[in-house]
Amino acid sequence: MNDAPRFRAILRCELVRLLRDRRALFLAVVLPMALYPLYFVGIDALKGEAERRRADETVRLYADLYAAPSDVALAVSAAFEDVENFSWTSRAWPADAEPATAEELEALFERENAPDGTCGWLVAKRVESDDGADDEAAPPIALELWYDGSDENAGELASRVRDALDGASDAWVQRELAARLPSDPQSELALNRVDVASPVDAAGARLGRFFPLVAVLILISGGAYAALDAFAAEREQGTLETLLVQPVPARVVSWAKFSAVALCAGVALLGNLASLVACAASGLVPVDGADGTDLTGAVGPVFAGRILYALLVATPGAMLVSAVLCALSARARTFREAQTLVFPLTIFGALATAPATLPGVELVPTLAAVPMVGTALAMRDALAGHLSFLALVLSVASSSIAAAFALSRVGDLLDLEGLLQHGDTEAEGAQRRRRSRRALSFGWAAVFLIYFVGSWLQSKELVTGLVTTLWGMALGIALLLAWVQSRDGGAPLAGELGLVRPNLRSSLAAVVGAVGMLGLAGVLIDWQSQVLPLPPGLGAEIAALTDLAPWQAFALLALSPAICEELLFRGAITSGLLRDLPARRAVLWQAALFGLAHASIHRFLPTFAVGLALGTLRVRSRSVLPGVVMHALYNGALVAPAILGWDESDAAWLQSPWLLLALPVAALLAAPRARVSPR
Amino acid sequence: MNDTTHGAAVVTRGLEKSYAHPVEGEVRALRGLDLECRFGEIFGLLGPNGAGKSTTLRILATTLRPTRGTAVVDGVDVTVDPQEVRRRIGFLSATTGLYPRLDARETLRYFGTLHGLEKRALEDRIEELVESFSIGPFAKQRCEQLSSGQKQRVNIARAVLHDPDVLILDEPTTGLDILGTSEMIDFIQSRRDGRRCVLFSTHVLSEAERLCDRIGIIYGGDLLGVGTLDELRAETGAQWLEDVFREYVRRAREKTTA
Amino acid sequence: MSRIGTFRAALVVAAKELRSAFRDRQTRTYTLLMPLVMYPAMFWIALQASALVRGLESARAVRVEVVAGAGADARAHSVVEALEQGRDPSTDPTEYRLGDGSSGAVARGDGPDARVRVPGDGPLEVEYDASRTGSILASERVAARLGDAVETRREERLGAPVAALAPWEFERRDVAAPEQLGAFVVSVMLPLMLIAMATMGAFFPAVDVTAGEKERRTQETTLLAPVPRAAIFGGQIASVAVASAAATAMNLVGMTIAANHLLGMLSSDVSFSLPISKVLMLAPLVFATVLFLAAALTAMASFTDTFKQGQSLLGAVQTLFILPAMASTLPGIELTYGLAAVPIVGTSVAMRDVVRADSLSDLALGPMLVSILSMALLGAVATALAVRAMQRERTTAPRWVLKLTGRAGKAGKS
Repeated sequence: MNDAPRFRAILRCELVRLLRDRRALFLAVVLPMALYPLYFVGIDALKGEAERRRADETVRLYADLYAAPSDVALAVSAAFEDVENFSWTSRAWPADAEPATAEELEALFERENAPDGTCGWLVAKRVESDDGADDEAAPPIALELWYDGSDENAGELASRVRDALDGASDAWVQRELAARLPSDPQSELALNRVDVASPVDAAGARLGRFFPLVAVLILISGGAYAALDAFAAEREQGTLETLLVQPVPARVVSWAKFSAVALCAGVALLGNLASLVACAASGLVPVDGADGTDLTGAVGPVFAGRILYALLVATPGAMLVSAVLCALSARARTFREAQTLVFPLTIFGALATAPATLPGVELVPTLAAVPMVGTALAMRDALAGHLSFLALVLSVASSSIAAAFALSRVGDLLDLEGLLQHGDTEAEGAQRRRRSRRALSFGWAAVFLIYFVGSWLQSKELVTGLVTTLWGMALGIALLLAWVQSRDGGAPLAGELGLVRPNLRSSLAAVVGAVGMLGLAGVLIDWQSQVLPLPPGLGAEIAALTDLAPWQAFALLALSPAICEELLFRGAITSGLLRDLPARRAVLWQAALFGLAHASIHRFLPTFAVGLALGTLRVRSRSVLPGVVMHALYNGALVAPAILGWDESDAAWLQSPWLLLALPVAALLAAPRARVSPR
Repeated sequence: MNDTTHGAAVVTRGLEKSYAHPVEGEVRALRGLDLECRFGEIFGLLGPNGAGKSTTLRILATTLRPTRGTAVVDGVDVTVDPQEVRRRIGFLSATTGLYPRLDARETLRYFGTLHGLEKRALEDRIEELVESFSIGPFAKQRCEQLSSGQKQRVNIARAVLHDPDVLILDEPTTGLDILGTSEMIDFIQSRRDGRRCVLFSTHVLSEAERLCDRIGIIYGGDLLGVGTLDELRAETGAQWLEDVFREYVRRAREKTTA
Repeated sequence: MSRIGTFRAALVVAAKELRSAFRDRQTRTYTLLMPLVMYPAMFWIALQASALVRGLESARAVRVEVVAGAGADARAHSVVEALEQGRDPSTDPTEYRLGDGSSGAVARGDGPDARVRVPGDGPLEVEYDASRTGSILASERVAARLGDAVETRREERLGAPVAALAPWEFERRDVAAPEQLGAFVVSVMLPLMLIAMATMGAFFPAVDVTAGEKERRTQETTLLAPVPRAAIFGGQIASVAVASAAATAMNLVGMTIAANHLLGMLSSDVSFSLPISKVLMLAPLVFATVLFLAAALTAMASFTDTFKQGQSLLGAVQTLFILPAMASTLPGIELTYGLAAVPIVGTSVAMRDVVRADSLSDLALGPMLVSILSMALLGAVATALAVRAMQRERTTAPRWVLKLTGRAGKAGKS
C-alpha cells in the first residue's frame, strides 16, 4: 500500500491546524521575535546607564601621607591627578584610630568633619620589619585604604584608588629597573601576541560559543508548541483514537507528525535567526571582538555561508530535539503534563550544548559521539571554520541515531493500548510503580544529601564528616527506606536491607569479582584520563587521611563505605526497585544513583561500573553480604598504596588489565545454578 | 454455536482481556467472550458501565489487543492484520472528537485520504455525505464553532466515509440530546439493508429494544445471554427487557456465590 | 450577604484552589521541590564544568614553533631555553622547538598551535589563532613562561625580589563585616530574584485558575456557587498569590542554603544571612509584590481560553515584570517619592534598601510606604480588571485582544 499520500495528508493536516491557531502562533512565535529588539535595547540601555552612573559618581578621599618619603607622596598625588570625579584632601589619621566596623569608621569621619561624599581614608605607614627578619621583599611603605566595602560609593572609590596606585607603582618599578639593571630581561623576552585568525574565523568562534545553546532553546520552544498540539492536544480532544482506527500504520502517523514538529522548530529557528540578524544589522546587538575590536566587518557572504554550514551540521541535532519532543508529548496524558515535561527537556538541552560555551572543551571523537553534545561542538567548529571530517561524520551519526531511536519510541507510544496501560489519569499514573518510585525518590534524596550535606560536613572536619555521612546519613536513609518498605507489604527489615545468608558460591564470586573490578577500574581510568583528564590537585583528600593509623584508614575508607553504601544502594533501594522493575533496570538505576552519589564527573564512570557489578551480585545472590565483601576488598586495594605508602610503580599491578580476566570467573560463580527445566 | 466463521461479520472466541491496574493488580475485563454478529443485522451489546462493552469493541477496532482468544472481523483476524480490519470497519464512540480548527469538508477529505480513496471518488463521496447528512449549511465552519448535533453529523459522516460493511459504535448516544439521539437511531436504522452489520453498545434498554435484531447481555466480562428479544424473554420468562437483564444478572451472581 | 460572608467565601474558594493545586504531584514538584534542589545542582554543575575544563586544559598537548629571524639564531635559542626553564611536563605538556616557519600556517590548523617569531631586535611575537582552543592555550602558555622567565632573571640580576622595588604596598582595609558584605551582594541580587521568582511562581496557578478552569469546564460549576462573584475571583487571586509566595519562599530557602553552605566552603570573607528583622521588614514589600503580580498575571490570563494560550501569553509578557526589577542592580539609584510610585522598580529599590539598612532610621520610610501603596493600588486595579474580564462573556474581551489574536471575525459570529 502506498503510504505517501497518507503521510502528506497527515502532515498537511498538522500544519493547517498549527497555522490556524493564530492566537497561539502569535504568542509562541511572533511575539518572542518581536521582543528580541526590545530585549537588546533594554539590556544595552541598562548596561550603559549603570556604567555612566558609576563613572559620574564623585568620590572624596582623605589621605594621610605624612609617613611617606616625599618622592612617594609626590608619586601618589601625581597618580591621583588623572582620576576623574575624584578629589582628595590631606588629613592626618588620628593616632588612636582603629575602626573595626563600618559604624566606627563612619563615626571617625564625622568626628573629623569630613565633607559629604568622603568615603575612604588612605594612610601611609612605615612597615616595621618584625625582628629584623628578611623583609627585603616588601616595600618600606604600606598604603592602607580604610573604607566600607558594603557602601556603593566606597567600593567605587576603592577600585579607582587601586587602579591609580597600581599604575603608578608599576611605572615606578619600571623606572627603578631601568636604573638598576643595565639590561632588563624584559627587553629580551618582551612578547606581543598577534592573533592571526581571519576576522570571519574570529567572529565565527565567538558566535559559535553561544549559537548552539540559543539554537537549541529556540528549537525546543518552537517545536514544543507543535509537538504539544500534535500529540497531547490530540489526545485531549479525543481525535487520537479516531486517527488510530484509520488504516494507517502508526509509523506513518508518527513520521508525519514528527515532520510537522521538525518543520515548525526549524521555521522558529530561522525566524529567530532572521530577527537576530536584523538586530545586528541595525546595530542593536554589539558585535565586538574579544579585545574590543569591531567585528562587524567580518559579517558578509563568507560568514553567511558559515552560518548555513553550521545549520546544516545542526540538522541531526534539530531532528533529535524534535523527536524527543514528540516522544515526550506522545507519552503525556494531558496537554498540561506534556507542558511540564518541556522544562526538564530545556535544562537537558542547555546542558548538552553548554560544553560549546566552555573555552577549553574541544571536539574530540569521544565527545563527537555523544548525541547533541557532538552536534553543539560541531556547530561551533563549523562557524569557526575548522570542523574536521571525522568529527562531522561522528556528530551527524550520533545525533541521527539518537533521533531515529526517539522516533521509533514515538511509534511505539502511539499504540493506543500502551497509552491506556499507562493509566488514563494522572492520579493512576502516580499510583503505578509506587514502590519503585519511592525507592528512586529515596535514592535521589540520598544522592542530594550525601553531596550537599556530606561534602559540607567533610569540608569542616574530614574524618568526622566522613563518619557522619556514611554511618549517619547513608545508613539512616537505608534503614528508613527499609522500614517504610517492610511496612508496605515487604519483607522484614533485614530482608529489605538484603541481610540474607548468601550461599558459598556468591561469596567466592565476591572475592574474585573484586579482583576483576580492579582490572576494570584500571582500564576505565586509563581510558578516561584521555577523554576526561583530571585537573591538577584533585584527589588530595585521601592524602590527608594518611596521618591516621592504617587500620583506622582502612576502616574509614574501605569498610565503612562498603557496609553503609551496600545497605543503602544494593540493600534498601534495590529491594524497592525490584518490586516493580525487571532486574536489569533495577540494577541500572541503582548503579546510576550510586555513581551520581560520588558527585564527580570524573568518578562517575568507574563508580557506575562498580555499581553495576555489585548490583548484579546482589540480584544473583539475593544477599547484600557478598557485595559488602567485594566492595571492601575493592576499596581497600584502591587506597592501600596511599595508606601504606607504597611506591606508585610497585602498586601498578593492582590495576593491571589482566585482572579483568577474573570478571567472567566471578560471573560464572555468581550465575544461578543450572535452572530446573521449566515445567 | 457452529464453528463456521465464514459469512459472519464479527466472531470472537474465548476473548480475554486483562489490565494491570495500579492499585487492584490484575483486572480481568473480559473472561472468555464468545460472540457472533452476522451481516445484515444490528447487534446490541447491553450492559452496565464496566461490563466490558468498550473493551470488546475496542479490541474489534484494533486499538486494544486481546490477552487471549481470537477476534475476527469480516474474515480478518484483528491480531494478524489490524491494518486490514481498520480498512473494513467504521468506528465511532461518544468520546470521539473532531479537529477543532478544520472545517467539515476538510475533516472528511483528511480521513478519506487516510483510507486511500481516489481524489475524484473522494470528492464525490464527500458531496454525497454532505447532502445526505445535511452538512451543507455549516460545511465551511470550523468544527470548534459547530453545535454538538452538527458535530455528531460530521462524525457519523466521517465514520461511514469509506462505506464500511461493519460499523462499530461505542455508546453512540451518550451525551446527545433528544434530537441528536433520535437522529442517531434513525441513522442506525438506515444501515439495516440486509448486507451490512452494525455492532453497537449501550446501557439504554429502550434503544436496544427498538433497534436490535439481536441483543447480547454482557456483565462482568462475560456474555450472559444472546438472542432476539423474544428468545431472551422466553429464556428468562420475563416480559420487559429490564427484567430480562436483571434475571440474567441474578443468575450470574448466584453462580459466582455458589 | 454581609461583607464577612464575602470574605469568608473568598477564603473558602482560595482554600479549595490551593488544595486542588497542591494535590497535583507536578505542582508540588515544581513549586516546592525544584527550588530546593535546583541551586545546589547548578552549583555542582558549575564546579564539575570548571574541573572538566581545568582537566582538559592541563592535559592538552600543544606544539609551539620558535622561528628565528635574520641573524637571530642565538636569541631564538635563548628564548627556547627561557620557555623550557622550570616547565612541569605534567601540568604543561607543551613541545617547544626551533623551526624555520615552513611547517604550515597557524591559522589553517596544519602548522604548530602557535609560532614565536624571534627578530634580531625588538619584542618577540607569538602568532596564534584565537578561534582555536589549542592555539589560545599555546599562546597563553608562551606568555606565562616568558613572564616567569623575566621575573626569575630579573631577580637573579638584582639579587633581590622585584617586588621590593615597589614604592609602596597597597592594602585595602575593608571595615565591612562579612555579614555586611554579604548583605551588599544580597541587596543587589535579592530584589531581582524575589520578583522573578514570584512572577514564575504565579505563572502556572494564574493560567490554571483562569484558562485551565475554562478548559476543564469547571468554571461554570464555580460560578454557580451562591456567593458574590468578587468573592470567587478574589479567592482565586489569593490562591495564586499564596502559591507564588510559596514558590518564592522555597526559592529563597534553596538559595540561602546553597549560598551559605557551598560558598561558605570556599571563602569566609563573605557571609550570607538574612536576619529575621529584615525578613519582617521585607514582608510587607514582598506581600504587596506577590499580590500585585498574582492579580496582574491572573488578569492577563483571564483573556485567554485554553491552558496553551494562557501559557504562551504569560510566557511572553513575564519579561515585562522581571526586567524592571533589575533596577536594584543599577548603582546610584535612590528611592525618591517619584521612583517609589513606579511599580516593581520602586519595590525593587525599596527591597534593596531594606536589606542594606543597618537600622530602621536609615530607611526612607515615606517612599517605601508609597511603593507599597502603589503596588497595592495597582494590584487592586488589576484585580478589578480581572474580575470584570472573568465576569463578562467571552466575546466581550477587549477588541484589541481579539484582533491581536485573530479572533475578531469569530467574535461577531458566535
